Amino acid sequence: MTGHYTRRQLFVHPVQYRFVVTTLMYFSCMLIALYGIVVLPMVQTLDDPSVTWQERAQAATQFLGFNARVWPWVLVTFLGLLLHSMYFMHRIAGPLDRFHALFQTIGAGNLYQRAKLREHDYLQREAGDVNAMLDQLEQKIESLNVHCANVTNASEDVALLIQGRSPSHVNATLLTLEEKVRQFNTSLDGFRLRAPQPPQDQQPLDFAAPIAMDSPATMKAA
Amino acid sequence: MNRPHRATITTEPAVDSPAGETASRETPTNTASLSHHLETSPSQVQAESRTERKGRRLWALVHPLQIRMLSMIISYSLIIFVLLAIPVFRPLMQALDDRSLSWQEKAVVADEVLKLHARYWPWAISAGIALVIHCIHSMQIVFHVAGPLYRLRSVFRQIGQGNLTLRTTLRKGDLLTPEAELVNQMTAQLDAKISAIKMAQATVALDIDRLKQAGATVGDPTMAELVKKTEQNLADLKTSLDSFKTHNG
Repeated sequence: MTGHYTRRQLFVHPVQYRFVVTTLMYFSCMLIALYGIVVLPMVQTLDDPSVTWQERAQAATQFLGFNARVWPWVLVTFLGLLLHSMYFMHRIAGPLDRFHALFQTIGAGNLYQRAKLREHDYLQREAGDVNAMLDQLEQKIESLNVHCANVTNASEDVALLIQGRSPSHVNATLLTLEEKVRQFNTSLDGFRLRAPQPPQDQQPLDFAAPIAMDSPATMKAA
Repeated sequence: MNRPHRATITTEPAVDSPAGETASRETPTNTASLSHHLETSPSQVQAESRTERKGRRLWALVHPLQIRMLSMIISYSLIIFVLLAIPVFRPLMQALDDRSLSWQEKAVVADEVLKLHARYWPWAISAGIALVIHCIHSMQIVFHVAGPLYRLRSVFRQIGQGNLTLRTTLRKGDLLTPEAELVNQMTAQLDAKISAIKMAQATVALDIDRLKQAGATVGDPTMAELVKKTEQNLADLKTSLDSFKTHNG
Protein backbone atom coordinates (compact mmCIF):
# COMPACT_ATOMS: atom_id res chain seq x y z
CA MET A 1 0.00 0.00 0.00
CA THR A 2 2.93 2.34 0.49
CA GLY A 3 5.09 3.49 -2.35
CA HIS A 4 8.34 5.38 -2.67
CA TYR A 5 7.52 8.48 -4.60
CA THR A 6 7.52 12.18 -3.85
CA ARG A 7 5.24 14.90 -5.06
CA ARG A 8 6.66 18.32 -5.83
CA GLN A 9 3.43 20.29 -6.19
CA LEU A 10 2.70 22.41 -3.13
CA PHE A 11 -1.09 22.63 -3.41
CA VAL A 12 -2.95 19.68 -4.86
CA HIS A 13 -6.33 19.95 -3.12
CA PRO A 14 -8.68 22.79 -2.07
CA VAL A 15 -8.63 21.42 1.51
CA GLN A 16 -5.07 22.70 1.80
CA TYR A 17 -6.06 26.29 0.98
CA ARG A 18 -8.85 26.18 3.51
CA PHE A 19 -6.62 24.84 6.25
CA VAL A 20 -3.77 27.28 5.57
CA VAL A 21 -6.21 30.23 5.52
CA THR A 22 -7.74 29.12 8.82
CA THR A 23 -4.34 28.68 10.46
CA LEU A 24 -3.17 32.09 9.23
CA MET A 25 -6.38 33.73 10.36
CA TYR A 26 -6.13 32.43 13.92
CA PHE A 27 -2.44 33.20 14.19
CA SER A 28 -3.19 36.73 13.04
CA CYS A 29 -5.86 36.98 15.73
CA MET A 30 -3.26 35.97 18.33
CA LEU A 31 -0.81 38.55 16.98
CA ILE A 32 -3.40 41.31 17.05
CA ALA A 33 -4.28 40.39 20.63
CA LEU A 34 -0.58 40.43 21.51
CA TYR A 35 -0.16 43.85 19.95
CA GLY A 36 -3.31 45.22 21.60
CA ILE A 37 -2.58 44.01 25.11
CA VAL A 38 1.22 43.99 25.40
CA VAL A 39 2.54 46.55 22.91
CA LEU A 40 -0.23 49.16 22.78
CA PRO A 41 0.16 50.31 26.44
CA MET A 42 3.84 51.07 25.70
CA VAL A 43 2.87 53.20 22.70
CA GLN A 44 0.14 54.99 24.65
CA THR A 45 2.75 56.26 27.13
CA LEU A 46 4.51 57.98 24.23
CA ASP A 47 1.34 59.86 23.31
CA ASP A 48 0.55 60.95 26.87
CA PRO A 49 1.25 64.78 27.17
CA SER A 50 1.52 64.57 30.97
CA VAL A 51 4.57 62.29 30.78
CA THR A 52 8.01 63.95 30.85
CA TRP A 53 10.42 63.53 27.95
CA GLN A 54 12.76 61.38 30.10
CA GLU A 55 9.92 58.95 30.84
CA ARG A 56 8.96 59.00 27.19
CA ALA A 57 12.53 58.21 26.21
CA GLN A 58 12.53 55.28 28.65
CA ALA A 59 9.20 54.01 27.24
CA ALA A 60 10.54 54.38 23.69
CA THR A 61 13.68 52.41 24.59
CA GLN A 62 11.51 49.72 26.16
CA PHE A 63 9.29 49.62 23.10
CA LEU A 64 12.26 49.34 20.73
CA GLY A 65 13.89 46.66 22.89
CA PHE A 66 10.64 44.70 23.01
CA ASN A 67 10.21 44.97 19.25
CA ALA A 68 13.78 43.81 18.65
CA ARG A 69 13.25 40.81 20.93
CA VAL A 70 9.77 39.67 19.99
CA TRP A 71 9.24 40.11 16.26
CA PRO A 72 12.09 37.90 15.00
CA TRP A 73 10.78 35.12 17.26
CA VAL A 74 7.23 35.68 16.11
CA LEU A 75 8.20 35.55 12.45
CA VAL A 76 10.37 32.44 12.78
CA THR A 77 7.76 30.62 14.90
CA PHE A 78 4.87 31.40 12.64
CA LEU A 79 6.81 30.55 9.51
CA GLY A 80 7.85 27.22 11.03
CA LEU A 81 4.30 26.42 12.11
CA LEU A 82 2.89 27.43 8.73
CA LEU A 83 5.35 25.17 6.93
CA HIS A 84 4.54 22.31 9.29
CA SER A 85 0.79 22.76 8.83
CA MET A 86 1.28 22.73 5.06
CA TYR A 87 3.29 19.53 5.34
CA PHE A 88 0.56 18.06 7.55
CA MET A 89 -2.15 18.91 5.04
CA HIS A 90 -0.04 17.53 2.21
CA ARG A 91 -0.23 14.13 3.87
CA ILE A 92 -4.01 14.32 3.49
CA ALA A 93 -4.23 16.12 0.16
CA GLY A 94 -1.65 13.84 -1.52
CA PRO A 95 -3.67 10.64 -1.01
CA LEU A 96 -6.85 12.45 -2.06
CA ASP A 97 -5.13 13.48 -5.26
CA ARG A 98 -4.10 9.88 -5.92
CA PHE A 99 -7.61 8.61 -5.19
CA HIS A 100 -8.91 11.17 -7.66
CA ALA A 101 -6.84 9.64 -10.46
CA LEU A 102 -7.57 6.09 -9.30
CA PHE A 103 -11.37 6.49 -9.34
CA GLN A 104 -11.22 7.68 -12.93
CA THR A 105 -9.09 4.67 -13.88
CA ILE A 106 -11.42 2.22 -12.13
CA GLY A 107 -14.44 3.78 -13.83
CA ALA A 108 -12.73 3.16 -17.17
CA GLY A 109 -12.58 -0.54 -16.25
CA ASN A 110 -8.91 -0.83 -15.22
CA LEU A 111 -9.15 -3.01 -12.13
CA TYR A 112 -5.44 -3.86 -11.95
CA GLN A 113 -4.51 -0.46 -10.47
CA ARG A 114 -4.01 -0.14 -6.71
CA ALA A 115 -3.85 2.80 -4.32
CA LYS A 116 -0.22 3.33 -3.33
CA LEU A 117 0.49 6.01 -0.77
CA ARG A 118 3.69 7.44 0.59
CA GLU A 119 4.97 5.94 3.82
CA HIS A 120 3.91 8.82 6.09
CA ASP A 121 0.68 9.65 4.28
CA TYR A 122 -2.61 9.63 6.13
CA LEU A 123 -5.73 7.90 4.75
CA GLN A 124 -3.99 4.51 4.72
CA ARG A 125 -7.22 2.91 5.95
CA GLU A 126 -9.12 4.38 3.01
CA ALA A 127 -6.43 3.16 0.61
CA GLY A 128 -6.76 -0.30 2.15
CA ASP A 129 -10.51 -0.23 1.60
CA VAL A 130 -10.14 0.87 -2.02
CA ASN A 131 -7.63 -1.91 -2.61
CA ALA A 132 -9.89 -4.47 -0.92
CA MET A 133 -12.74 -3.29 -3.14
CA LEU A 134 -10.55 -3.67 -6.21
CA ASP A 135 -9.45 -7.15 -5.11
CA GLN A 136 -13.07 -8.23 -4.75
CA LEU A 137 -14.11 -6.73 -8.08
CA GLU A 138 -11.11 -8.30 -9.78
CA GLN A 139 -12.01 -11.68 -8.32
CA LYS A 140 -15.60 -11.38 -9.54
CA ILE A 141 -14.55 -10.34 -13.05
CA GLU A 142 -11.96 -13.14 -13.13
CA SER A 143 -14.74 -15.59 -12.31
CA LEU A 144 -16.87 -14.08 -15.09
CA ASN A 145 -13.97 -14.50 -17.51
CA VAL A 146 -13.63 -18.18 -16.61
CA HIS A 147 -17.36 -18.82 -17.06
CA CYS A 148 -17.37 -16.82 -20.28
CA ALA A 149 -14.51 -18.95 -21.64
CA ASN A 150 -16.51 -22.08 -20.75
CA VAL A 151 -19.57 -20.76 -22.59
CA THR A 152 -17.45 -19.84 -25.61
CA ASN A 153 -15.82 -23.28 -25.70
CA ALA A 154 -19.15 -25.05 -25.35
CA SER A 155 -20.74 -22.97 -28.11
CA GLU A 156 -17.70 -23.69 -30.35
CA ASP A 157 -18.17 -27.42 -29.71
CA VAL A 158 -21.79 -27.11 -30.80
CA ALA A 159 -20.69 -25.17 -33.89
CA LEU A 160 -18.08 -27.81 -34.80
CA LEU A 161 -20.70 -30.54 -34.50
CA ILE A 162 -23.47 -29.06 -36.55
CA GLN A 163 -21.81 -26.65 -38.96
CA GLY A 164 -22.73 -27.52 -42.54
CA ARG A 165 -24.46 -30.74 -41.54
CA SER A 166 -27.70 -29.38 -40.16
CA PRO A 167 -30.68 -27.65 -41.73
CA SER A 168 -30.27 -24.00 -42.65
CA HIS A 169 -32.41 -22.64 -39.82
CA VAL A 170 -30.18 -24.38 -37.25
CA ASN A 171 -27.09 -22.96 -38.92
CA ALA A 172 -28.61 -19.48 -38.92
CA THR A 173 -29.40 -19.76 -35.19
CA LEU A 174 -25.85 -20.95 -34.58
CA LEU A 175 -24.40 -17.98 -36.45
CA THR A 176 -26.52 -15.60 -34.37
CA LEU A 177 -25.36 -17.34 -31.20
CA GLU A 178 -21.70 -17.03 -32.24
CA GLU A 179 -22.22 -13.33 -32.91
CA LYS A 180 -23.88 -12.82 -29.52
CA VAL A 181 -21.12 -14.70 -27.72
CA ARG A 182 -18.59 -12.46 -29.49
CA GLN A 183 -20.53 -9.39 -28.33
CA PHE A 184 -20.59 -10.78 -24.81
CA ASN A 185 -16.81 -11.23 -24.88
CA THR A 186 -16.44 -7.66 -26.11
CA SER A 187 -18.58 -6.40 -23.21
CA LEU A 188 -16.43 -8.33 -20.76
CA ASP A 189 -13.27 -6.92 -22.34
CA GLY A 190 -14.38 -3.54 -20.95
CA PHE A 191 -12.71 -4.67 -17.73
CA ARG A 192 -8.95 -5.02 -17.72
CA LEU A 193 -7.39 -7.14 -15.00
CA ARG A 194 -3.79 -6.79 -16.16
CA ALA A 195 -1.75 -3.77 -17.16
CA PRO A 196 -1.36 -3.55 -20.92
CA GLN A 197 2.05 -4.81 -22.09
CA PRO A 198 4.32 -2.21 -23.65
CA PRO A 199 5.03 -2.64 -27.36
CA GLN A 200 7.62 -5.29 -28.23
CA ASP A 201 10.31 -2.77 -29.20
CA GLN A 202 9.93 -0.95 -25.85
CA GLN A 203 10.20 -4.02 -23.62
CA PRO A 204 13.38 -4.21 -21.53
CA LEU A 205 15.83 -6.92 -22.41
CA ASP A 206 15.93 -9.68 -19.83
CA PHE A 207 19.45 -11.09 -19.88
CA ALA A 208 18.91 -13.14 -16.74
CA ALA A 209 16.22 -15.32 -18.27
CA PRO A 210 17.56 -18.36 -20.08
CA ILE A 211 16.83 -18.41 -23.77
CA ALA A 212 14.53 -21.32 -24.51
CA MET A 213 15.28 -22.80 -27.87
CA ASP A 214 13.02 -25.42 -29.26
CA SER A 215 14.89 -28.42 -30.46
CA PRO A 216 14.53 -29.23 -34.16
CA ALA A 217 12.69 -32.41 -33.15
CA THR A 218 10.12 -30.51 -31.11
CA MET A 219 9.66 -27.99 -33.88
CA LYS A 220 9.20 -30.79 -36.33
CA ALA A 221 6.67 -32.47 -34.06
CA ALA A 222 4.85 -29.18 -33.66
CA MET B 1 -34.66 2.23 -14.36
CA ASN B 2 -34.82 1.76 -10.60
CA ARG B 3 -33.86 4.51 -8.26
CA PRO B 4 -30.31 4.14 -6.96
CA HIS B 5 -29.82 3.04 -3.37
CA ARG B 6 -28.26 5.70 -1.24
CA ALA B 7 -25.63 5.46 1.40
CA THR B 8 -27.42 8.20 3.26
CA ILE B 9 -30.92 9.31 3.92
CA THR B 10 -32.17 12.16 1.79
CA THR B 11 -35.22 14.24 2.32
CA GLU B 12 -36.07 14.58 -1.35
CA PRO B 13 -36.51 11.76 -3.82
CA ALA B 14 -33.34 10.92 -5.66
CA VAL B 15 -32.76 11.94 -9.24
CA ASP B 16 -32.90 9.04 -11.61
CA SER B 17 -29.66 9.71 -13.42
CA PRO B 18 -26.77 8.74 -11.15
CA ALA B 19 -24.15 10.51 -13.23
CA GLY B 20 -25.95 13.78 -13.14
CA GLU B 21 -26.12 14.01 -9.39
CA THR B 22 -24.17 16.40 -7.28
CA ALA B 23 -23.37 15.17 -3.85
CA SER B 24 -23.20 18.56 -2.25
CA ARG B 25 -26.76 19.61 -2.84
CA GLU B 26 -28.16 16.88 -0.67
CA THR B 27 -29.70 17.60 2.68
CA PRO B 28 -28.16 16.74 6.08
CA THR B 29 -27.97 13.09 6.89
CA ASN B 30 -27.27 10.70 9.69
CA THR B 31 -23.97 8.88 9.45
CA ALA B 32 -24.72 6.73 12.47
CA SER B 33 -27.37 4.79 10.60
CA LEU B 34 -25.26 4.47 7.47
CA SER B 35 -24.41 0.81 7.65
CA HIS B 36 -27.99 -0.04 8.50
CA HIS B 37 -29.34 1.80 5.50
CA LEU B 38 -26.85 0.27 3.15
CA GLU B 39 -28.57 -3.04 3.72
CA THR B 40 -32.16 -1.82 3.53
CA SER B 41 -34.36 -1.39 0.52
CA PRO B 42 -35.01 2.10 -0.90
CA SER B 43 -38.60 2.01 0.34
CA GLN B 44 -37.42 1.26 3.87
CA VAL B 45 -34.88 4.05 3.66
CA GLN B 46 -37.55 6.51 2.57
CA ALA B 47 -39.92 5.37 5.29
CA GLU B 48 -37.28 5.75 7.98
CA SER B 49 -36.01 9.03 6.64
CA ARG B 50 -39.01 10.81 8.11
CA THR B 51 -38.26 9.56 11.60
CA GLU B 52 -34.47 9.66 11.72
CA ARG B 53 -33.79 12.90 9.93
CA LYS B 54 -33.65 14.82 13.19
CA GLY B 55 -30.83 12.64 14.51
CA ARG B 56 -28.14 14.24 12.40
CA ARG B 57 -24.70 13.77 13.88
CA LEU B 58 -23.17 17.15 14.46
CA TRP B 59 -20.08 16.16 16.33
CA ALA B 60 -18.27 12.87 16.49
CA LEU B 61 -14.85 11.35 16.28
CA VAL B 62 -15.07 9.19 13.20
CA HIS B 63 -11.47 9.37 12.00
CA PRO B 64 -8.01 9.42 13.65
CA LEU B 65 -7.32 12.48 11.55
CA GLN B 66 -9.47 14.51 13.93
CA ILE B 67 -7.35 13.58 16.96
CA ARG B 68 -4.19 14.35 15.04
CA MET B 69 -5.49 17.74 13.99
CA LEU B 70 -6.58 18.63 17.52
CA SER B 71 -3.26 17.61 19.05
CA MET B 72 -1.43 19.52 16.32
CA ILE B 73 -3.31 22.76 16.98
CA ILE B 74 -2.82 22.51 20.73
CA SER B 75 0.89 21.82 20.34
CA TYR B 76 1.19 24.75 17.90
CA SER B 77 -0.39 27.09 20.38
CA LEU B 78 1.77 25.85 23.25
CA ILE B 79 4.84 26.41 21.10
CA ILE B 80 3.67 29.97 20.40
CA PHE B 81 3.07 30.70 24.10
CA VAL B 82 6.44 29.34 25.16
CA LEU B 83 8.41 30.88 22.31
CA LEU B 84 6.84 34.29 22.91
CA ALA B 85 7.36 34.13 26.66
CA ILE B 86 11.11 33.47 26.18
CA PRO B 87 12.04 36.75 24.41
CA VAL B 88 9.62 38.77 26.52
CA PHE B 89 10.71 37.63 29.98
CA ARG B 90 14.22 36.23 29.54
CA PRO B 91 16.18 39.56 29.53
CA LEU B 92 14.33 40.76 32.61
CA MET B 93 14.92 37.48 34.43
CA GLN B 94 18.60 37.64 33.52
CA ALA B 95 18.75 41.19 34.91
CA LEU B 96 17.20 40.01 38.18
CA ASP B 97 19.89 37.33 38.47
CA ASP B 98 22.69 39.77 37.66
CA ARG B 99 24.82 40.24 40.81
CA SER B 100 26.44 43.42 39.53
CA LEU B 101 23.12 45.33 39.66
CA SER B 102 22.16 47.25 42.79
CA TRP B 103 18.95 46.44 44.62
CA GLN B 104 17.40 49.72 43.39
CA GLU B 105 18.08 48.70 39.80
CA LYS B 106 16.76 45.21 40.53
CA ALA B 107 13.62 46.75 42.00
CA VAL B 108 13.07 48.70 38.77
CA VAL B 109 13.53 45.49 36.76
CA ALA B 110 11.17 43.58 39.08
CA ASP B 111 8.63 46.37 38.61
CA GLU B 112 9.01 45.93 34.84
CA VAL B 113 8.51 42.16 35.16
CA LEU B 114 5.34 42.71 37.16
CA LYS B 115 4.04 45.24 34.63
CA LEU B 116 4.78 42.87 31.76
CA HIS B 117 3.14 40.04 33.66
CA ALA B 118 0.08 42.16 34.11
CA ARG B 119 -0.01 42.69 30.35
CA TYR B 120 1.22 39.27 29.17
CA TRP B 121 -1.30 37.10 30.98
CA PRO B 122 -4.39 38.92 29.70
CA TRP B 123 -2.92 38.34 26.26
CA ALA B 124 -2.28 34.69 27.10
CA ILE B 125 -5.88 34.31 28.25
CA SER B 126 -7.27 35.97 25.12
CA ALA B 127 -4.92 33.86 23.01
CA GLY B 128 -6.19 30.82 24.92
CA ILE B 129 -9.76 31.77 24.01
CA ALA B 130 -8.65 32.18 20.40
CA LEU B 131 -7.04 28.73 20.68
CA VAL B 132 -10.29 27.16 21.90
CA ILE B 133 -12.20 28.77 19.03
CA HIS B 134 -9.46 27.66 16.63
CA CYS B 135 -9.71 24.08 17.93
CA ILE B 136 -13.49 24.03 17.54
CA HIS B 137 -13.34 25.56 14.07
CA SER B 138 -10.54 23.27 12.90
CA MET B 139 -12.34 20.24 14.28
CA GLN B 140 -15.39 21.33 12.36
CA ILE B 141 -13.31 21.58 9.18
CA VAL B 142 -11.76 18.16 9.78
CA PHE B 143 -15.19 16.75 10.58
CA HIS B 144 -16.26 17.88 7.12
CA VAL B 145 -13.35 15.82 5.75
CA ALA B 146 -13.62 12.84 8.11
CA GLY B 147 -17.39 12.45 7.64
CA PRO B 148 -17.18 11.97 3.86
CA LEU B 149 -14.18 9.65 4.31
CA TYR B 150 -16.18 7.52 6.74
CA ARG B 151 -19.05 7.43 4.27
CA LEU B 152 -16.82 6.61 1.30
CA ARG B 153 -15.27 3.69 3.19
CA SER B 154 -18.72 2.13 3.64
CA VAL B 155 -19.45 2.69 -0.04
CA PHE B 156 -16.17 1.00 -1.04
CA ARG B 157 -17.09 -2.05 1.02
CA GLN B 158 -20.52 -2.23 -0.61
CA ILE B 159 -19.10 -1.82 -4.12
CA GLY B 160 -16.57 -4.58 -3.37
CA GLN B 161 -19.51 -6.85 -2.50
CA GLY B 162 -20.98 -6.08 -5.91
CA ASN B 163 -23.59 -3.46 -5.04
CA LEU B 164 -23.32 -0.96 -7.87
CA THR B 165 -26.62 0.78 -7.16
CA LEU B 166 -25.19 2.83 -4.31
CA ARG B 167 -24.58 6.53 -4.67
CA THR B 168 -22.94 8.50 -1.93
CA THR B 169 -24.35 11.84 -0.85
CA LEU B 170 -22.69 14.31 1.47
CA ARG B 171 -24.02 16.76 4.01
CA LYS B 172 -24.29 20.42 3.13
CA GLY B 173 -20.91 22.04 3.71
CA ASP B 174 -18.97 18.78 3.56
CA LEU B 175 -15.63 18.88 1.86
CA LEU B 176 -14.47 16.17 -0.59
CA THR B 177 -17.45 16.79 -2.86
CA PRO B 178 -15.32 16.24 -6.01
CA GLU B 179 -14.16 12.88 -4.62
CA ALA B 180 -17.74 11.81 -3.79
CA GLU B 181 -18.84 12.81 -7.28
CA LEU B 182 -15.96 10.83 -8.77
CA VAL B 183 -16.89 7.76 -6.73
CA ASN B 184 -20.49 8.12 -7.93
CA GLN B 185 -19.29 8.51 -11.50
CA MET B 186 -17.04 5.46 -11.11
CA THR B 187 -19.91 3.39 -9.69
CA ALA B 188 -22.20 4.53 -12.50
CA GLN B 189 -19.59 3.51 -15.09
CA LEU B 190 -19.10 0.10 -13.48
CA ASP B 191 -22.87 -0.27 -13.25
CA ALA B 192 -23.23 0.52 -16.96
CA LYS B 193 -20.53 -2.02 -17.88
CA ILE B 194 -22.02 -4.79 -15.76
CA SER B 195 -25.52 -3.97 -17.02
CA ALA B 196 -24.25 -4.32 -20.59
CA ILE B 197 -22.73 -7.71 -19.72
CA LYS B 198 -26.00 -8.82 -18.09
CA MET B 199 -27.87 -7.72 -21.19
CA ALA B 200 -25.46 -9.64 -23.43
CA GLN B 201 -25.82 -12.70 -21.20
CA ALA B 202 -29.61 -12.52 -21.50
CA THR B 203 -29.33 -12.32 -25.30
CA VAL B 204 -26.97 -15.30 -25.40
CA ALA B 205 -29.43 -17.24 -23.18
CA LEU B 206 -32.23 -16.47 -25.63
CA ASP B 207 -30.13 -17.62 -28.58
CA ILE B 208 -29.17 -20.84 -26.82
CA ASP B 209 -32.86 -21.42 -26.14
CA ARG B 210 -33.60 -20.90 -29.82
CA LEU B 211 -30.77 -23.28 -30.76
CA LYS B 212 -32.15 -25.83 -28.32
CA GLN B 213 -35.57 -25.62 -29.97
CA ALA B 214 -34.04 -25.81 -33.46
CA GLY B 215 -31.90 -28.78 -32.38
CA ALA B 216 -34.98 -30.58 -31.09
CA THR B 217 -36.39 -30.60 -34.62
CA VAL B 218 -33.18 -32.23 -35.90
CA GLY B 219 -33.29 -34.91 -33.18
CA ASP B 220 -29.52 -35.24 -32.73
CA PRO B 221 -28.77 -36.47 -29.14
CA THR B 222 -25.08 -35.32 -29.26
CA MET B 223 -26.13 -31.84 -30.24
CA ALA B 224 -28.79 -31.78 -27.53
CA GLU B 225 -26.13 -32.83 -25.02
CA LEU B 226 -23.73 -30.07 -26.14
CA VAL B 227 -26.45 -27.42 -26.10
CA LYS B 228 -27.38 -28.54 -22.60
CA LYS B 229 -23.74 -28.18 -21.53
CA THR B 230 -23.63 -24.67 -23.00
CA GLU B 231 -26.82 -23.87 -21.17
CA GLN B 232 -25.29 -25.11 -17.93
CA ASN B 233 -22.18 -22.99 -18.43
CA LEU B 234 -24.34 -19.99 -19.12
CA ALA B 235 -26.28 -20.64 -15.92
CA ASP B 236 -22.98 -20.62 -13.99
CA LEU B 237 -22.07 -17.38 -15.69
CA LYS B 238 -25.43 -15.90 -14.69
CA THR B 239 -24.81 -16.92 -11.09
CA SER B 240 -21.50 -15.07 -11.16
CA LEU B 241 -23.14 -12.06 -12.77
CA ASP B 242 -25.89 -12.04 -10.16
CA SER B 243 -23.28 -11.31 -7.51
CA PHE B 244 -23.38 -7.79 -8.99
CA LYS B 245 -26.36 -5.70 -8.07
CA THR B 246 -27.15 -3.17 -10.77
CA HIS B 247 -30.03 -0.83 -11.54
CA ASN B 248 -31.33 -3.35 -14.03
CA GLY B 249 -31.42 -6.11 -11.46
